Amino acid sequence: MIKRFVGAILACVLAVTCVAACSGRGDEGNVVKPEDPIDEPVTINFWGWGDLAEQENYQTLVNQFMAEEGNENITVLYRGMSSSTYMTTLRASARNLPELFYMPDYDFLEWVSSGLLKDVSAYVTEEELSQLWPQAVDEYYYNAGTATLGQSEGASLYGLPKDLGPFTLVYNKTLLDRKIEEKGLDAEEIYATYLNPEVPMTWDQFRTLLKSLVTDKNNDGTPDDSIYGISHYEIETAVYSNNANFFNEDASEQRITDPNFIEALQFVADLTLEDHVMVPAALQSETDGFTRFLNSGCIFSFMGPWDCAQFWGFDIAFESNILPVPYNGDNPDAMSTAWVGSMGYCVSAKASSMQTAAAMRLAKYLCTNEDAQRKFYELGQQVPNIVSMAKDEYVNDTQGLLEGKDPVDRSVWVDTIDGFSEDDKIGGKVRPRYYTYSSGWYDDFLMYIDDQGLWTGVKTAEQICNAYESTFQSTLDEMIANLG
Amino acid sequence: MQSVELCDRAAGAESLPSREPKKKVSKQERREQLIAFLFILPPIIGFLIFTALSVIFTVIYSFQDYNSLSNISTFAGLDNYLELFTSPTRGPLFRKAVVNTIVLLLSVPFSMILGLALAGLLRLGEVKGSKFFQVLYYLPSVSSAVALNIVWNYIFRSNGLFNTVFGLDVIWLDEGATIKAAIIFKNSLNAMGGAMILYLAGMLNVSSELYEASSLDGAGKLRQFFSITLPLISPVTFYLLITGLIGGLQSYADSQVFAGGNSGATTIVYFIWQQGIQGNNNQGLASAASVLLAVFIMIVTLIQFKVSNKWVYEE
Repeated sequence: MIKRFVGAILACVLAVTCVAACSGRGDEGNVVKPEDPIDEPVTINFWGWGDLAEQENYQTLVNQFMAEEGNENITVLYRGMSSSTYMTTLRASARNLPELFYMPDYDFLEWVSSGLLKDVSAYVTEEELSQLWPQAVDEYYYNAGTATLGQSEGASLYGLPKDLGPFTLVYNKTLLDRKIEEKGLDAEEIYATYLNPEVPMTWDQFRTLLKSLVTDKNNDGTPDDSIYGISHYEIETAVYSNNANFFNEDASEQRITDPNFIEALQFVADLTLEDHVMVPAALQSETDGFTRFLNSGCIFSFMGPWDCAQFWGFDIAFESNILPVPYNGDNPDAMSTAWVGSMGYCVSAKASSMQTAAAMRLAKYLCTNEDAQRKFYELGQQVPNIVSMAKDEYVNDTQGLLEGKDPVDRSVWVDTIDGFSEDDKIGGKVRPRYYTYSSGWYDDFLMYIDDQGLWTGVKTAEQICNAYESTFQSTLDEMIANLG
Repeated sequence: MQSVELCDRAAGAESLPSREPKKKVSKQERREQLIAFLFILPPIIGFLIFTALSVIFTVIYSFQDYNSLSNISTFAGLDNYLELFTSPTRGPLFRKAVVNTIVLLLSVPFSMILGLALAGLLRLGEVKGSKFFQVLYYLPSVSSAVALNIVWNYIFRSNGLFNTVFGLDVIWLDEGATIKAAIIFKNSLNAMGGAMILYLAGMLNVSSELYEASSLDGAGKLRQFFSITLPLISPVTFYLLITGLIGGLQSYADSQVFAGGNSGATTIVYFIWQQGIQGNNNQGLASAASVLLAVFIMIVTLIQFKVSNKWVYEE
């Protein structure tokens, strides 16, 4: 009896497994071309991340899309997640992805080379792409034949940019003015010399400014009033702003032993060790930099356009503004270069042609529709993707949607995105992790330099980078081997 | 000898009464058996899928180089196990996690000593409102580990309650020894309530006649404690030690919630999560670390059981 019962259960389990295995998505006879109308009901799942406010904003835009699309056949199920759990959930769902989902630029290579993303080149016209930031679009091209990123012969488009966000310097203007007054400094001179949104500071100028604002009379590393000059410093920004990098162009050879790289790393360490103006590493792990900044625990920090939503919703009692990141004035090849992050709207490789068509309509709506882009910048989530809108409407607030909202000098973000030519003084670069097969190496590197005592002065940047050279090279070799 | 035994068995078999004919199972009994089986089916299925299968796959993956994105798996032999100790990037992280996990186990004996002391005070001292104190000390045991860790994180910040109350200027959440000291301190306090309740129950079970008899023999309170109470509640100590060490070796919330990934407090389970789930896509390596951890826990537990007959009291 029991044997028969167990047999029946096993048979049921096997049957369910077979049905599940055979029910993979895909086209079953009805192939929908990109230009074809969608005349059958189709449901697409769209996954994104962000805080609750951002998730609500997305739901509003998704509803707006469904209403404006006028195609009752398309149903979008939006699922927003917190940023910390998003990639974990997405990875766990790699075999059964939603039709449309966010893909951070630094994970793009791993996912696209694994064949999980759909080639969407046929779903977007050149005209549609031409209105967007070219560097943003370029990030989502991949050549499967040569396993290389960016536009090239034979490369295809595997996503549309959600945004392009420069991570630049931000300062608490209220706190800064108070400090200037307390120290008896000349405010006019400081604003003219150091805080010009069009002329970036050199590292020396930045250190001079911070030292004039922060005093540590007993030399114990803690400012007298516990208000630090800067919360932390972005390593990639320091490295880029000294014309250095972690590796060469195709990420095959390490460059961490380059004197410019070492100098950049030491510059960051010395802000704490020598100048006592930056929050020590131990305290940074207690409270993250932006939270400290929001609580007026420091004058400077770093922020990207996506932080505005949190900034405006935080009910902060101070004025703030942004600046281009400082660069090494002693290096003639260096310029102010912030890292510029991006995220893509990608489609699952398993999505049927009809689902892909519907998903791309939504992606294009979110990415290129003027109303949607206007809504995004109004909500403090990004610099518009549409270049003309960013350079005029957004920077000059011609629609009056950003009145009274900081930062005033939004041109810094636009200049950073736009500054890729040799004549520019301010520019931006994609994070190094974008160019490598996986992104874990960056955390490993940070953990190593931390563990070796760079931030506490146990070892110098030169000692640490030289010691890590071969390990880092092995990691790069391994990633290239994984990429095939 | 063997032949004698066989003969005995044969003789025994002969002397056995003939086998009774198989009793026919009634419809009602079958029905009851089926219902009973259905009752235990959900936990059996749960165990097979979520425990047995997971264990089997973990062991398999530990010998594989598995990429969850491309779903490609290649046999890697012992590479993952060797990488845990020899890799220049992962090796130091794993070694650090092992050292941290072992150091943090210090909270197990501390919590037991504190729990024992509290139980002794409540038992012997006849403290007024002892029920209130029992509830108070036991409260952390029934509270969410995440909530507790968040609260403790605030307490141990440089401008937090701990430094303020004791007039200290220590960065507890630093990466060195201080964060470990903070975790041992908080875990000892969190777990002492549970230990106290069990010790108290154990003490209440010790016959009062033993104390009376020893008093007549002139034994003092201290002598009674070490010669009567402690040996008789040794099963509780054994239980607390076993569960404490197993739990401690599987610690995760301390690294993730309290320390926020601080390398001074990363545990083995945190390392497994970091490598296998967080984004490093090293499922093979994470599986190898999981297998090693499971084997280590089994060995530690077996040793404890093996030596328990030397110090654990059994009636």
